[in-house]
Amino acid sequence: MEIRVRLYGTLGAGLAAHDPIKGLRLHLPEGSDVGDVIERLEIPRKKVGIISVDGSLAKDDSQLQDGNFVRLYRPIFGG
Amino acid sequence: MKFLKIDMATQTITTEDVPAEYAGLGGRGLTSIMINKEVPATCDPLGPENKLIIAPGYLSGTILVNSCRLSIGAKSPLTGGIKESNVGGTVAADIAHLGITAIIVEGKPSNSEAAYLLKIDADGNAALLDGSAYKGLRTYELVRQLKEAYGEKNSITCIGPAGEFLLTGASIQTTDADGRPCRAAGRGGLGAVMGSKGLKAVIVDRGGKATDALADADVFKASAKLYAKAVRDDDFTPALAELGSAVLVAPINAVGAFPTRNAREGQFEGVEKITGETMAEVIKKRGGKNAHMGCAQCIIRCSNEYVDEKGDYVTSSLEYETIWSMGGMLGNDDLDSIAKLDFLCDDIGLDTMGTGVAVAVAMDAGYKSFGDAQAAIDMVEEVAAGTEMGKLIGNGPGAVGKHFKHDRVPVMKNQSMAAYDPRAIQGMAVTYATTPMGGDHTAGWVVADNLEDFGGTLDRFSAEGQVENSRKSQLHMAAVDTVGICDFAQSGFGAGLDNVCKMVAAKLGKAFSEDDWAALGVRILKAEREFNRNAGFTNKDDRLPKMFYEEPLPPHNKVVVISDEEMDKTFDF
Repeated sequence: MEIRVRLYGTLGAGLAAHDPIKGLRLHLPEGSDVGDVIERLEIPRKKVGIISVDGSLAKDDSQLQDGNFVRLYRPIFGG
Repeated sequence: MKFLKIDMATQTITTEDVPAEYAGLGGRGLTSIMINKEVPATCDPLGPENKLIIAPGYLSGTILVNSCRLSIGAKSPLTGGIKESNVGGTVAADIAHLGITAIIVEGKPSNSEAAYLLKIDADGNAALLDGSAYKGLRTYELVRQLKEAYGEKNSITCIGPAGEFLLTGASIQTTDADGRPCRAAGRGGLGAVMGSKGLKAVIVDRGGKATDALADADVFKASAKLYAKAVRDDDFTPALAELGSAVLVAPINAVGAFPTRNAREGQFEGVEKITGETMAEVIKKRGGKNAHMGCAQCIIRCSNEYVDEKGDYVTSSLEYETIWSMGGMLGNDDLDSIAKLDFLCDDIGLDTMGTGVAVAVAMDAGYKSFGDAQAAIDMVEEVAAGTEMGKLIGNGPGAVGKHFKHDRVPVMKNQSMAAYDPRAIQGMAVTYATTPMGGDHTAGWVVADNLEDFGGTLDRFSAEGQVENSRKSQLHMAAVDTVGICDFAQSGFGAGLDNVCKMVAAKLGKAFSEDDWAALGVRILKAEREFNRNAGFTNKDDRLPKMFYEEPLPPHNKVVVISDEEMDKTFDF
């Protein structure tokens, strides 16, 4: 299946294939979950904060389907 | 360690040593404790009894990175209670470098048309000059003229037309490291207090060489080094440099806490056009600046310079809260108009947050349509034009709501909410409701604590643990605001709270422990609460507007679930 991934904050830094606005497309085996995406992109798990799939909050073990749009956000501190 | 006292009634200036009772204080600790002691709580905030206290943080002016924060305190004409408004730029260090602990502006001129400049030279000598030639000027033109008259090597802290009109949404602006009046002590209407005292601008020479001596410079230096390393090594620092505070737009919207269209929803369908990521790309493409240094001694550089399609300057720095107040809160997804609104507020001297929410209430009441960015720009321009509508917008969302008899006015103690909806982050409900400052997010920012995905341990939809957590945060922030450390540099505390206490002790010349830090926070909150009580506030003022308890916020459809009894436990000490 093919999914789209967008990395927010500085998560995409160092990933040449990742366009900061458009993200990137990923081919994954059937039955993959969000955790597999994070591993595949070689992002240290602790750098990932919020996860959403097609706009709804999700977790590492959320199962993915063809055409899903996965968004990963980094932890924040702020004002 | 001097107080500079400016009597605006007689236009006399006196210098005195800092009295023993205020020893060891700076920033918010100094302003709040002094206001509680010396300003009658029932006074007219725009009258002669109010004081405008301008105080660098206790550690401002030292070599510590990110320590250039100024606290401006007074009785607020917006909330009717105590106010500390906090701003960066360079002025906190400039004042501290002159050996001045606080500038205390008292009284008011008998001639209500009078306008003065307060000028402080490199030797710390102060003079009140005739400012009538500068009356009515917007801040960018004012700064241009003052630099021409008095030279480039000054920081300028000033009001625009909004402050001169005594509007309760008026800010005090100060110049950034590039000399633009784009840093704002925005909240609480202190621009009106400054205007009521006939003070148009404070001009401070940036070449002071009389910084208070440290009791132990070597210990200070060692701790400062550890602090800087912790900030540099923190994972969030490069994100702030690259995207600014706007890095918050995307994740806060993702969790459904981004108040949209006067807080009718928690997610904005147009958010992608106004995220920090989008803003950074636009700036890069057009030749503006990211990772811009706005404040003295900053090693984070969260500021930016936003430019238009031709590459011409529009504004600096475009922050999360403004992108929210002029963007999501108005249903406006046009970044260029948001940047223009940011500039207009800086230029006219208005709090971007309260002004955006004022426009949002007007739109929600049907005056104009959500998403009509031009209407928003027109409304803000009307503030400078002095029209009836302009006065309402300039006086903030409470005034607008009252005028339109609208029942959806998101204010606490008459100050607008910030860019986190309390229905989606219950911890912020406690902070907004209970901080003596009114709807203030930095007073007790508990967002990360409420988000499991950010390592938080509190359930953001539950009341459990929220009161204790907000209290802890509020007490800690009061101390942070006293020493003058930037909110975004709190990563430096990763080297230990005791490391920061060591720096305080190294300046003070006596022991200052973590217990003293905690006691400082308690002392400040007690003073602020006492002032507010004496000003007539009761526990009924530690509540949120009805809409937050009754209207479920999409997409999660929750309401605020913190009970009144629990709210009242926040300051149970």
